[in-house]
Amino acid sequence: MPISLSRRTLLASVPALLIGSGAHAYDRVQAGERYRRWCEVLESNLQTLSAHLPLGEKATPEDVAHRCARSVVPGSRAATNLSDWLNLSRREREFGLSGPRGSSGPMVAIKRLLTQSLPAGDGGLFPEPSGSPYPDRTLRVWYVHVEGGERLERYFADPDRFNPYRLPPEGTLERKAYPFLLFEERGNQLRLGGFSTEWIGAAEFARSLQFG
Amino acid sequence: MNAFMKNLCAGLLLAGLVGLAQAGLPCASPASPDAPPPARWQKVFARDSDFEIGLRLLGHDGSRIEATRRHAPHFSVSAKGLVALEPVWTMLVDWSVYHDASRATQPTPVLYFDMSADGLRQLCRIERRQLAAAALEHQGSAKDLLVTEITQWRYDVQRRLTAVENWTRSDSSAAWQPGPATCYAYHPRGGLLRESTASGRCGSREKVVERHVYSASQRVLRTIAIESEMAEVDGVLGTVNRQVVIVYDDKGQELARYIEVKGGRITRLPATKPEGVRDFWLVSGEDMGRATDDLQRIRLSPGAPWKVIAIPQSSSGDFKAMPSEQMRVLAEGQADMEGRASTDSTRPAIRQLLGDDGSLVMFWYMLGAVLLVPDITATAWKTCLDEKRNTPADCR
Repeated sequence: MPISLSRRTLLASVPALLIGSGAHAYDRVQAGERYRRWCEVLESNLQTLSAHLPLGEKATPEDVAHRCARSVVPGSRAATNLSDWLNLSRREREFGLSGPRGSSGPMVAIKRLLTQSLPAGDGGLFPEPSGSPYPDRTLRVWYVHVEGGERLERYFADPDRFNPYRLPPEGTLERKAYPFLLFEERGNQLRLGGFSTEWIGAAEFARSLQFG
Repeated sequence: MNAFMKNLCAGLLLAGLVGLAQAGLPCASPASPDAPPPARWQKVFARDSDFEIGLRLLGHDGSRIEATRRHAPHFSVSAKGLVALEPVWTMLVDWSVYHDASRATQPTPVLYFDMSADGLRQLCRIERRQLAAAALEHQGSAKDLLVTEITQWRYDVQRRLTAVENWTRSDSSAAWQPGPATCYAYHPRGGLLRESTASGRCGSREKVVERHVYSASQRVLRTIAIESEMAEVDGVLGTVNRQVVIVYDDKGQELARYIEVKGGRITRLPATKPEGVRDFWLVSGEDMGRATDDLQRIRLSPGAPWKVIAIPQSSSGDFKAMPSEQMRVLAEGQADMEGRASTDSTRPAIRQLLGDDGSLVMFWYMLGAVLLVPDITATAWKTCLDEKRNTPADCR
C-alpha cells in the first residue's frame, strides 16, 4: 500500500496559532508537514529497495541504509526493524502465507500505521541506556497520535501498555504514556532512527485484529 | 441638558453598548442560514472521514477524542455544586492538524472558528457540502459546491454556549429546513439553569426539557428533566417521554433519581445499583397495607429462606462478599405454606431506611436480591417537580 498524502499542502492560509494548539509551543502543523514529506520519501525509498532486491534474497540493514539513506538513519534500530519486516512480508508473499481472510504482512501494517500517525508533541532528545551501541541523544522523540476506530482503542486503553495514556509535558520522555517515533533532524531533513515499543505495539495489535 | 439632548445621549450610549456586546460576542452570525459566514471566521477544510463515527482524533491536549453524532453537550456538576456544559467532541479536537486548503474545492466539511474577546477560539459552525447536480459532469470548482447541512453553535459574551442549531436543504433552490435546536439559559450567578429544544433557531417556541434547581447559596439541588425512551404503547413501538428528577448531595454527586415506573407510580432509585441486583420492588410508605406494595405480593416456594438486609449506599462490588459488620440483617425467616414472607414486624425499619440517603435495603432470597425502593406519594412528587422549592428537604 503506498503511503498516500491524504493531508498534503497545508495551511498557508490558516494561522496555526489561531485554530490550532494555542496552548502548545510545539507546532503540530509544521511538524505534520515535515512528517508527511518524510513519509513520501520513505515510501519512495522502500519501493526502490524492493525493486532492487532479487526474488528470494533477503534485505539486510545495509540494504536499507543504502536505499533509504534519505529517510532512515544508517545502522539504526529502524534500519534493522525495516529490513526484518520487509523480509517477513516478502517471505509470506512468496510462500503464499497471507494468513486467513487475505490478511496483510507486517510491512503493510507498519506503513498503514505510519499514514495513520500525526505528530502530537516533542519528547526531547532520546537518552540511550548505558551500554547501548547507539550514540546518545542524537535522536529526537516525536510523540505521535495514531488514528483508529473502536477496535484499536482496546490497545490504547490497556493499562499494561499505557499507564495511563497521556501526552507527556513538552520536552520530556515518559514510557508507557504515548506512542513515539525517533527521528534524526538535520536542518529540515528527517530520518527515522527507531520505533518505540508503544508504537510498534499498535501495529502488532492492528495486525492481530486481522486474525481475530 | 434638554430632553432632546438627553434622548440623544441615551441613544448613543445604548448603541455603543450594543456595539460593544456584539464585538465581544464570539460566533455572532446572521439569523438566516442563507447569509454567508462573517469574513473574519477562520475556515478549516476537513475530510468526510474525520467525522466517521467511532474514529479517535487528536485532541488539543493529546488525548484521543471519539467522533460521535452528538453536537449538543452533556452537563456535569462541579464539586462546588454548579452545573456546566461539557465541551462536545468537535470542540476538543485540534483541527489545525486536519486542515487541508486544497479541499476548498472538494465536497468536504468546513469548520468555522471565531475569536472571543479573551483571545480564545470558538467553534462556530460546521458546513457539509455536496457537488451541485449541474457540476457532476465537469471538474468541480468552489462555486459548484452546495452547502446542504449547517450545524451552528452560539455563545454569550462569557463564551458560554447558548444554542446549537441545525439546518438542512436538498438543493440550491430549496429553502433551508430547520432542524432540532438545543438552547441553554444560565443563572445570573453562573450555573446552567435550563436546556430547551426548538425548531431551527432558539428564542421562540422553546420547550424546556431540563431545569436545574439551585439553593439560595447557589448549589444545585436537583435536575428536573424529561427523558425519552423507546417503549411499546398499545402494541406499537414508539417514544415515550417521562419526567425524572435527579437529586444531588452537597458535593455535587448524584444521590438518587425520582422516576416514573410501572403503572404510573413514582419511586426513588439510588444513583448506583449494587452489583448482582437485577430488579426493584416498590414498598409503600404511609399505607403499608395497600395492595400495590410489592413486598405484600411476594410468593416464594413454601419453606424457602429469605432475608431483608441493609447495606451502605457507598459500598461497591458484590454485596454477598461484604464483611458482616457492614451488612445489617433487618429480618429473616422462611416462607410460609402459601409462599409469603412475613416482613410485617420489619416494616418500620424498612420504611425508615428507605428514607435514608446512606442505605440500600434489599430482599434476598434463593433467586437473588431485589432492591426495595419507596413508593413516592403524589404530593411528594409534586413538590419534587416544583422548581420554586429550593431546599434539600423539598425532594427527599
